Amino acid sequence: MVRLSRTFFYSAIAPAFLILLALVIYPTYKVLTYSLMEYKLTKPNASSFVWFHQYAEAFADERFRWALGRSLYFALLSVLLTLVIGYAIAELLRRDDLKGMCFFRSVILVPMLITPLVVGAVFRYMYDYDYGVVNDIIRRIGLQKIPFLGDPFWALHAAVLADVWQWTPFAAIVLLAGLEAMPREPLEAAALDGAGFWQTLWSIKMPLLRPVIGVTVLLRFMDAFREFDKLYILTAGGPGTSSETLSIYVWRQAFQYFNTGYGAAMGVVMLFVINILSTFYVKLSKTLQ
Amino acid sequence: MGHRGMLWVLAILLSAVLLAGCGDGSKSNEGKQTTKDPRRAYEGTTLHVLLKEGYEINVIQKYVQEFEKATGIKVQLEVYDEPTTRQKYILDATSKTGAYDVTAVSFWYFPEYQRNGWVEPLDDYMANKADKDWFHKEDIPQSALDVFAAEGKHYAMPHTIISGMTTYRKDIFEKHHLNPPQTTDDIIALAPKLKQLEPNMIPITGRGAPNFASMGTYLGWAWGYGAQLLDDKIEPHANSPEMVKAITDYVNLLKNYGPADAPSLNFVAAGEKMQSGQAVMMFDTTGWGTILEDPTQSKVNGKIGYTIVKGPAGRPLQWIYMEGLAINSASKNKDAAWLFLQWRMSRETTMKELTQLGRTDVPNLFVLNSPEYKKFAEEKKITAYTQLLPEAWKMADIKYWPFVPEFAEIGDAFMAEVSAAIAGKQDVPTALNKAQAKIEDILKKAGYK
Repeated sequence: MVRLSRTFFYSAIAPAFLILLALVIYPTYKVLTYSLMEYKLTKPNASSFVWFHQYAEAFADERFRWALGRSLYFALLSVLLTLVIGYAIAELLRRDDLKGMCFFRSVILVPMLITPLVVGAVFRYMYDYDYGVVNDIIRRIGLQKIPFLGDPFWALHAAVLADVWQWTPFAAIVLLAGLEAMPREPLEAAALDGAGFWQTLWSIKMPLLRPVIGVTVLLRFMDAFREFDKLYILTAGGPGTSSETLSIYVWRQAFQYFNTGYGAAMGVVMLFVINILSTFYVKLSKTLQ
Repeated sequence: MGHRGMLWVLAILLSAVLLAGCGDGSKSNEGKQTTKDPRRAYEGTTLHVLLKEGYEINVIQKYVQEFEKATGIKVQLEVYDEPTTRQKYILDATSKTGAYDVTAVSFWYFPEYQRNGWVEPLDDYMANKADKDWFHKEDIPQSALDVFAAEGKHYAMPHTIISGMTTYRKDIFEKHHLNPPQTTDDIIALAPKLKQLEPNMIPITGRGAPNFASMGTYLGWAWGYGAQLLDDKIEPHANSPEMVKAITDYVNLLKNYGPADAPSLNFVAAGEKMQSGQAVMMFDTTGWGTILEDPTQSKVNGKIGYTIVKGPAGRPLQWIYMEGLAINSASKNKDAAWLFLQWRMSRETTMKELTQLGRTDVPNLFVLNSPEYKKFAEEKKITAYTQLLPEAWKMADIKYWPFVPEFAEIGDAFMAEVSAAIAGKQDVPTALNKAQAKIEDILKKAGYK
């Protein structure tokens, strides 16, 4: 075995370490530092160290708590729908007896390749009350048109649907890989024993797919929880604050009002929420396994 | 190699990374006048110009090569949306790097820029360094210049001057023998009539999105009722009786006779209802004249009437937006930047803006009073708009605007509540009481009380 010299080893990792230092370690350190300071970018000379005051202020801020709740709701609903629809699509794509599946396996990736900002802009037109295609279809089938972006109930749900449209292919592809890697024997044995569709799904496929579902849920949750682009373009958090998630509120505080310290504290909370929920989910999955 | 050797390797790599970011293609030629032609005195300089997107920059983007040819100065344009433009400039201004020589400054950010010393006073340049062909101070409306003034000094050249105007579908009004609205009461009375007469149309459109960019509509409407959000002592009056009456009227208009998605409409989306021929009336800015009369952008060109509406207090409704070009106080190329500003405001450039790009609300009195402008307006059949424009500018009263650096936070807080009221989540008095409490809190934190 070739033994690498220490010099070569350190020289080889130095560029990667420097990049990590510049892009991850240092910014994280700065965010943590700012979160303990009352710091406004437009008044840098008036900053002061306030320990955890910004965190206390955030949890006392009604709008922050509301935005946190909206983020959780958005992420959970989006992940759930993505998973259910993604699984149905994966089952369809798996069938060899249907023609053109190769084509659909490629085409289904298209939504994922589009920038979220563009998805938001396209859906904004699609949801338009007066000339959007969605309301046109609703009207043609004889139903009452829906002010998707102007109604406090619909605004967030309309954004969830746009997110589901974009990311269901991801779930479908990952679950398809899981389904294809699944051993045939348990399925064949279940068929011989006369197990029905739901019984096979719950008792055989789901337990076997659990690790794949785990990864999908984890990645999608982290992504959906910090969703900004589509939501901002679609609703800007409105009407009122009905669809204002934590990402939008943090953006407003940090980059519109330049309350850098407060924005940093809320960003850290966001990071912790993702971390805690992800850890909890991973542990729960392991326990169930 | 031992630990010391490793440290050297790391140090060299780190230095290389740091030094790579230090290079700057531009060089300061300040004061190095190499030729006798004053316009070519800064030849070889590179100017970094930060612009906010909008129709007022089209002329810069299209004809900047002419400036480069005339001066030998290279211009690097960077164009962003408004929040990004501000973020970029604030990062540059607070670090005093002078990465941008010229910046666009919206009037609502001006107090913040001026108080922090981020923009250069232009009075000395105007008095002593004017290019006789490019700069004529008398061409620039004094009121617009004064918007960007503080403590007796002027800081920006206004290339966007926008005030409030109500637009309506002339053809629909003529069809039903209706008189154009003169007062807010007229608009309130016309909306139900129009709903009855034209059931497939939207009687009135307007902004309702929950952000500060919509606030101008509401405060401008309320100004007509005698309401003012912040008084001279920076005291908030979001729930004064006049404000409650004004906002109730406007919210009811949008709720009952406006687009169903009104609580989410921003400047573009609200105006689209007019451009596409769906809406009959709109109270917004004079800026819409150029768009609505452009057949490439509008289905209703030639069918629009314009009017200035007054409120119950006898005051005209307001919607002010001004944007100027300012020189970064940390710039190393201030004289070259001043040349650029003069070229932008020149008769020559502004005339091209009118004749080649079709912009009707050009910020130059010489061009506005020229035979070319008159001919252009007659040819395009927009004399109704062009004749009303100077009057609308004259009626603009900056006092209606909460002219404090915290206006964005105030505007977002105000509009979040009003937008929820349009959506029917709460009534207007409740919304304004909540807005008042939030604004008091914002001002207190900013140190006003």
